[in-house]
Amino acid sequence: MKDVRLEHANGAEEPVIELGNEFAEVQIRKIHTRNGVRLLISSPKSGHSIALCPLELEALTWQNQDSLSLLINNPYGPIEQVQLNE
Amino acid sequence: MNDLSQMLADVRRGMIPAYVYNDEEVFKLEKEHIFERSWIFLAHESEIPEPGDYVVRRILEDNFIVARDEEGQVRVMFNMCLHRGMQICRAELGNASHFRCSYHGWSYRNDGKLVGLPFHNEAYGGEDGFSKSGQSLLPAPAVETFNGLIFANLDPNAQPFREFLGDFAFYLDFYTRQSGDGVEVRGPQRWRVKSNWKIGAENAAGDSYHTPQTHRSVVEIGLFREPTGAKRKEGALYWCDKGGGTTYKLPPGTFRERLRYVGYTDEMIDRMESSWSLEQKRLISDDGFMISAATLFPSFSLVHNWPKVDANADDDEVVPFITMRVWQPISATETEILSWFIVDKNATEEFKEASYKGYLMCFGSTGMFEQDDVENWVSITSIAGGSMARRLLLNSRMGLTSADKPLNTPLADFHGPGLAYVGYGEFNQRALLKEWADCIERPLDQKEQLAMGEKILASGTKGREK
Repeated sequence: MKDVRLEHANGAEEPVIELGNEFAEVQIRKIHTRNGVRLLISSPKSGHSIALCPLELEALTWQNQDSLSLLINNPYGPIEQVQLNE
Repeated sequence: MNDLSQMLADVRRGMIPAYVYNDEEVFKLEKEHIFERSWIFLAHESEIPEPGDYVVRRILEDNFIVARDEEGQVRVMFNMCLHRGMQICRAELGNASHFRCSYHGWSYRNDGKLVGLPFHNEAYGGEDGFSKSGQSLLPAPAVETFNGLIFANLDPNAQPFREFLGDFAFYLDFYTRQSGDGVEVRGPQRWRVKSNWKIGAENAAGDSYHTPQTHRSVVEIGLFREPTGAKRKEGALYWCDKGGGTTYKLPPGTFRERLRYVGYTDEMIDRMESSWSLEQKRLISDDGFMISAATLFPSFSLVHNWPKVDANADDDEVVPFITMRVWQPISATETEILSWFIVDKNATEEFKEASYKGYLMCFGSTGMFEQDDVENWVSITSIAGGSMARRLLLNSRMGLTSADKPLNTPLADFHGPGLAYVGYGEFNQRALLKEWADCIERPLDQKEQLAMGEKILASGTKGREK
């Protein structure tokens, strides 16, 4: 899942933060689009990356452990529909 | 092993068959009868202060994740994936909200709850085929904490820890509750020595007699002024319920003066004054004893010493340190030592640094006391494996007459609980090995199997192929 914004976004000068533990490793960087900013999170190991807007990031702040567990449930893709219906 | 009942009888009268320090059958008995149903120290709460912090520890071959979950509760979970048995946390410590198995990617919350099975629908038909709700990593059968010390027991029917600990708690406070906020730890250092685990446990429990000989060089180089023969025999040995230890006799003085003598600062003494009971304080002020080494059955030991940390300082400028350790048996002839440094959480940074330096100079893998001790213990273990050792009963009856009477009468006005004697004696080693013998003699309970999904199966709903 490559985010199309990545090809156009400008953020090479922004510092990269790396976070890791024994289960995962990610790189985080602020990127600039023409009219705004996003936070780029990428996983060098899986090749996945996502660019989150401020509202999506704020949405993370009102999640709880259960909703984050849902995200973690399937390491190969998005939340399965059946889980959303549970 | 020679005859079991003879071995236990010999141990109980203080005549120790030398082979108990190097014998496969004895070790097998120890694993099942002692380590699989005793309270074993795993970690201190200050090692996992924040939600998500975890450390990985063992009891024999059983590997546990000791974690603080998102709610702040301490969890001790068997570190084995419920699917194919893979070890889930393989780093020795970390911080994570979820643990993910590296084999098939099953994930668990840091309270152990199973939250993720990849391709749950395709592989299992979702909840219908495999109900993951309510499934968790297996918790350790029994877990309790005292002064932040986390102990676990593999026996679900174990005697409650506080009951097991008994009045030895009185002595544990000197090491682990020097202020109301408790202690913090550094470490553990972890290393292996080719020694039977019991030798170190006995040594810490009550062997004040070895210090002037084994640790002579420590006195000679001026690192520690106390362990001379004359000084050590003035100390009291105490045994109380499941543990015991050694003390040093202090020069005359008040509670404060005597704590200053071993290097505590006034602000630390103020906190001790308010967090210890009157009786605890009287052990120092009235009886004049300062706790030193100790062991809680079977394999948890502590040391309190006050070396001269700064070589250029005056002889009376000493800095106290405290260390605790686990003697973790690997085999009949090998022990993994986990050694922590302990310090009052509220101590100044300057004190913490000096005290840590004292610890490193004396104990831990670099410590001088450690080198001296292990050299002996490795030799004992090695030579205990031969045929001659099967013919030898070691005399561990120091302090007793042939009629089993103590050479000295127990201290009548000692302010600590249990029984205390002044002078050299192997009272504590005998008490420790008597616990050992009692534990080995007690028959094993039937072990219950904990099948994955057992609760669900018991209610007869779903989860198993028909």
